[in-house]
Amino acid sequence: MIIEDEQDIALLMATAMRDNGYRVVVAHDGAKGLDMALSEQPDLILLDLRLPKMSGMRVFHALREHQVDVPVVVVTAWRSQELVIEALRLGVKDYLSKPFALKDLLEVAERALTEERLRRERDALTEQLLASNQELERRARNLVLINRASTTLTSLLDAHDVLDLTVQHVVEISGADYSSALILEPDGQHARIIAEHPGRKFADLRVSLPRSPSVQRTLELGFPYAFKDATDYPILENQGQAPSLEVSSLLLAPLVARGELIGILLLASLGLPRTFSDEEMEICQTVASQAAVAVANARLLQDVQQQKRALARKTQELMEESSKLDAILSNIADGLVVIDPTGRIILSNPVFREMVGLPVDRSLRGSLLAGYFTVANLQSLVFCAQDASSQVCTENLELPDGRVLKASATAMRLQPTLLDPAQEEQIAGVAIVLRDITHEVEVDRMKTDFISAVSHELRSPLTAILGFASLIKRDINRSLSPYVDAGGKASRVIERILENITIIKNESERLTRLVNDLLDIAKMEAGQIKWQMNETDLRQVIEGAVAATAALAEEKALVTRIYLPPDGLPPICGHHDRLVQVMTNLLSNAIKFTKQGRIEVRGWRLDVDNGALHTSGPVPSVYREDAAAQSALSALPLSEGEWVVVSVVDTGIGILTEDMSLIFDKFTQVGETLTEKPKGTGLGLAICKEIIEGHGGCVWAESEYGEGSNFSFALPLQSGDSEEAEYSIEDEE
Amino acid sequence: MAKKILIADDEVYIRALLEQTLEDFEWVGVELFSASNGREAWDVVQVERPDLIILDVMMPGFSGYDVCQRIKSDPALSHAHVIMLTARGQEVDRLRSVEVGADEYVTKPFDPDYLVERATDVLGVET
Repeated sequence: MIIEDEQDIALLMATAMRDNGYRVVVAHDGAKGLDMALSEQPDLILLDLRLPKMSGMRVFHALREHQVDVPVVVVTAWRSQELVIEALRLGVKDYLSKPFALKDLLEVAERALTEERLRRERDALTEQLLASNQELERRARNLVLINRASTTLTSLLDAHDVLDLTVQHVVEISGADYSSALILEPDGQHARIIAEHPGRKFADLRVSLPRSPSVQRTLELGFPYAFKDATDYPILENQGQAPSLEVSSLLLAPLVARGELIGILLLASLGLPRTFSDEEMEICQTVASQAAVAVANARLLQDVQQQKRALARKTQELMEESSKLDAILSNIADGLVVIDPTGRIILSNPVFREMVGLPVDRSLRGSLLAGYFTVANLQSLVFCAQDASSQVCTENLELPDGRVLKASATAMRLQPTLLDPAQEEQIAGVAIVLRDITHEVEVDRMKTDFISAVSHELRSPLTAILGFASLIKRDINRSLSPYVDAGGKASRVIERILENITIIKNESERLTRLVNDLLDIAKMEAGQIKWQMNETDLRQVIEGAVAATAALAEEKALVTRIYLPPDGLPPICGHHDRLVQVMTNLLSNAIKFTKQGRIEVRGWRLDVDNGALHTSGPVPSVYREDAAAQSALSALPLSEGEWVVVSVVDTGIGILTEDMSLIFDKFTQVGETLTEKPKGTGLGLAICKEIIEGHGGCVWAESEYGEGSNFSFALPLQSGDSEEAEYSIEDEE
Repeated sequence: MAKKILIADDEVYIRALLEQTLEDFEWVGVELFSASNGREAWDVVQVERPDLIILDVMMPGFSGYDVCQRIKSDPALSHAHVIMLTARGQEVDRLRSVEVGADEYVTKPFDPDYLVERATDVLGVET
């Protein structure tokens, strides 16, 4: 716009400007120029200072008063330095002095416009910068708040405190009118208000969650859901009871901990409905996730604390239990030591420590048992306990000072537990109980000595009685036979004397056998018998015993038959004479209790293989035909391996079932002893049992009352192991 | 020269029993001696040098084993046959008897007829 009163100059200027592409309006006086400047809003004003009606300076002032911030270039006809300086001070962009070249005009105009454009652009940029600065500041403030919130939240240890603070923070940060925190009920359809702010209107209110699948889905995925118009969704209505809240808009943010929706953070706007901005939703979600983590942590802590309390209680119980056990262990009379599989002591009681001569109050835990306790057999005992299946192994241990300890070792087996069912059975260690049996051993030895002495002392009178009875008989036969032949009273008396002498002789012999048996069993029981184990042919044993009892059998017209496998019986490791004693005993019993029929001796084989029984050879019918009898065999304490069995089968009076358990006991004679006249010592089978068990075998009986009996013994078959043979003598004194 | 038997036992009735058991030998000229302990038995042995000596094991002073050992270590008594009379029919006695050089051993109580049988064999004299 050109404001110029001189028509020619105005035209010239306008023409020059138009020629250079500017749109130009012209005013010829000051007032008109001001009006036009206000209405046309030009980009540049070329203002003559000398104007009619209103001077250039006044126009300029007026423009500034109207806040028209258009660049103004003043045009002045004369050199008025003061005026130009005044105009420049007031904000005029530039000046032109008349007369001016058109080139200068264009240059000035161009510069002013460019400057103005640049200024506007700068101003716009500054404004933009300020705005984004403010935005950043706001965000930073929110972040600080969120951060402060989350720091406080995560440092809180109680879920209620966490949620109380969460709702306060979220109201503070978002500027919402109301916030509450809801924790999901187990049904997933309802939630309970745990915390709210401001005020406490709905404390502990149970509310229904929105049924809408999209809402649920959104929340479950961990995103907030906003209702601009929440009037259709009356989440905060107190089940018809006042107070209720006039909620217009609603924002639900999920509380998700470890991928699970545990609750909802609710933001409500009262009054006019509003849209929640993305940022608000984001803030809300940030706080909600922090809160959820804090709640989860608080719950975890609560769990941990509960478990800690339970653990403390359990520990207390265990300590009490343990001190009880300690008291028991300290007060029992037996020594106890428990070792782990490497032989290190896990536990020992004072009695044990006293036994091995260590201070009673010293703990041996962790040290090697062998370091304190070096006696023969101990190691083998430990091995035995670890090998044997759930058995107690017992061994007498002799200490260097002469004391004798009876040690029982049991392996402690760990059963597969519920925690680790795949775990195989393991041996956790071996518990050894030690009892000082020095006194018992002494008493036992004294008993054996006593029996030896008694039996010795009994023999002399017995020798005299038996001997003189024989001599009397001899003398009568020799000197009085003529009177016997003569008949009459004297001969009858002499016959009776002879009969009575025979009774004295027989009974004395029985007494002798009793004394022998007593001595035998006393020594066997005292473990004083050292078995003379040699390779023994059972056929010889059987035949020897049959020959020894042949006279007895002949008296009763009984026949003894021997049945052996076609290839014979394999040799076993045994004490020949003792085995003959067993066979003779069994045979004479069979003969004694059998009136008619026959006696059979059957030698056969029994293999125990993985718990299964295999029999071969002339097996007695009772084990052949009857499944029940087979099961009787499997009930025997026979370990895995091969066995040779000898059975003595008779057709005698048999044994009553109720008596079966007694027959191997000492001094037991079953049946009508007075009428049956068994004439035994009552020790025969007890001795047989001792002898067979001394061979590592087992003896048993089967019987049917009135039908007959079947006595058998089994001896282990040791495959070619001649090292077992041991030459030793019986220890007498 | 007449055969001689020595009976050594500290128990009077056993001694009597042995004497009566073997008295028939006196009818065929065998001389019978008795001793009631080991010391006495050894004295008789040295003087009479019997052909058959029946020795009880358990005697006060010298035991039967001690006497037997002395007899067997004396070459002048090599002809003497010793029967040990033991109270116990146990292994240890049998082995000990063998050890001291006894010719045989008989356990108490013994059968008188058996002893007569043995004496007949050893002395080669029929009663």
